[in-house]
Amino acid sequence: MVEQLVIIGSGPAGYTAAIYAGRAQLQPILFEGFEAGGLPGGQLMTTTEVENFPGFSEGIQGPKLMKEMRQQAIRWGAKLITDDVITVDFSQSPLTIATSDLEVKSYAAIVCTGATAKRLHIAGEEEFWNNGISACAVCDGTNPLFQNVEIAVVGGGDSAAEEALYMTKYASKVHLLVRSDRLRASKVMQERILNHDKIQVHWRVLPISAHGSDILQSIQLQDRKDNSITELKVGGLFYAIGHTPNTQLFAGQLDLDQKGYIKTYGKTTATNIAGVWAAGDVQDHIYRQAITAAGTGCMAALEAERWLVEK
Amino acid sequence: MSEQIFFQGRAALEKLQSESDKLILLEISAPHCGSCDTLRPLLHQLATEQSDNLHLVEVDMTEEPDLAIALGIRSVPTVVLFKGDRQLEKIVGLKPKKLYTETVVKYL
Repeated sequence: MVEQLVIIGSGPAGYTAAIYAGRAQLQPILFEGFEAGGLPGGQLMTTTEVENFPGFSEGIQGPKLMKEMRQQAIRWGAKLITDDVITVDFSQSPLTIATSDLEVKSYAAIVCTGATAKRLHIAGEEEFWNNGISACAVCDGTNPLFQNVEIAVVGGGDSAAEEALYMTKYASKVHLLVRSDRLRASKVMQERILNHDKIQVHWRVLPISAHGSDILQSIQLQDRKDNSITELKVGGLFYAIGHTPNTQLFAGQLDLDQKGYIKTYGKTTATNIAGVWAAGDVQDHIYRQAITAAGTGCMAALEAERWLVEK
Repeated sequence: MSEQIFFQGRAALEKLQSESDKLILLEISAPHCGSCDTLRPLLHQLATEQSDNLHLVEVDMTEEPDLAIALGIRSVPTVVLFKGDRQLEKIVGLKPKKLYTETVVKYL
């Protein structure tokens, strides 16, 4: 049996594509993922309050928003599979999409695999990964071992600011390690950070190694002005330093740009392969918002629907 | 033993450790932990399939900080497999689906 449409990925782009395709009676199959490339539901699953998604004047919790989108996709007939796609063959029609124990053939596919938080890969990182070093303060911050100890967050954007503010609830002090001499975070977040008495901002520093016995106890910081090295005693180190697109699965099949994002053509979500579209952060390193991901997910579903009808 | 498959909390864990000779799969989770919510249905399914051999216990680390510290939990979800008091395996973070089944099957 050949399906009409497969959607790979389950953030705002994937679920929105599924809602539109479901309403168009395409009975889409949606691979939500499991552990590869982040959680089912995408990056909003590891945020707290989403304050800028239209329709929620008081804000909404990221996981709650994603649960609603998921339910809406199910309501319109999307079939959800909670597993990681491990191979695709887009070289011939029908397309092939496979997990470790299921293979699906489909005429059309929408890729919405998003992006994953970057790591610094400093010395000692493997040893202390999930053992003091984490890319998700919101997930791991409640751990009793981070209570009332000093911790550090690396990054200068909105996610770094959010993680630092979140950790002030638990840690005795939060060191925000900014690798440049300015914050990229929005003005509102910058003010909250700079005026918070538990947050100390370190400018132009780079963590270079992690140390401890069994658990993380300190990191070494390099000053980027004079290369001097100092030790910072922290029990936690949280990364918020941007993202890498989840496109390894498609390399050699879909055209990617220099940074590894999927190339789309003109004002559409079309990729270089007929019958394959891309939506959300996997093809967007500029806007990267839930609402733009949802918008491109909608575009991809409408484009796929039109293409399937004409075909 | 009772027919119950799913348990919650430290007291349940300790009771099973002293009274049951089945394997005990402990899931340590936390509020706001999306990965924990992703993992939970998989563990439920595994425990249901292996109900003759396995108990599943869920513990929220924010409710049982002493247990979390005793087990050296730094990240959630962490899954620990016990036979009585003996710790057989520890899986930190969300891992590929098959690993959970394979880990349990190894000790059957």
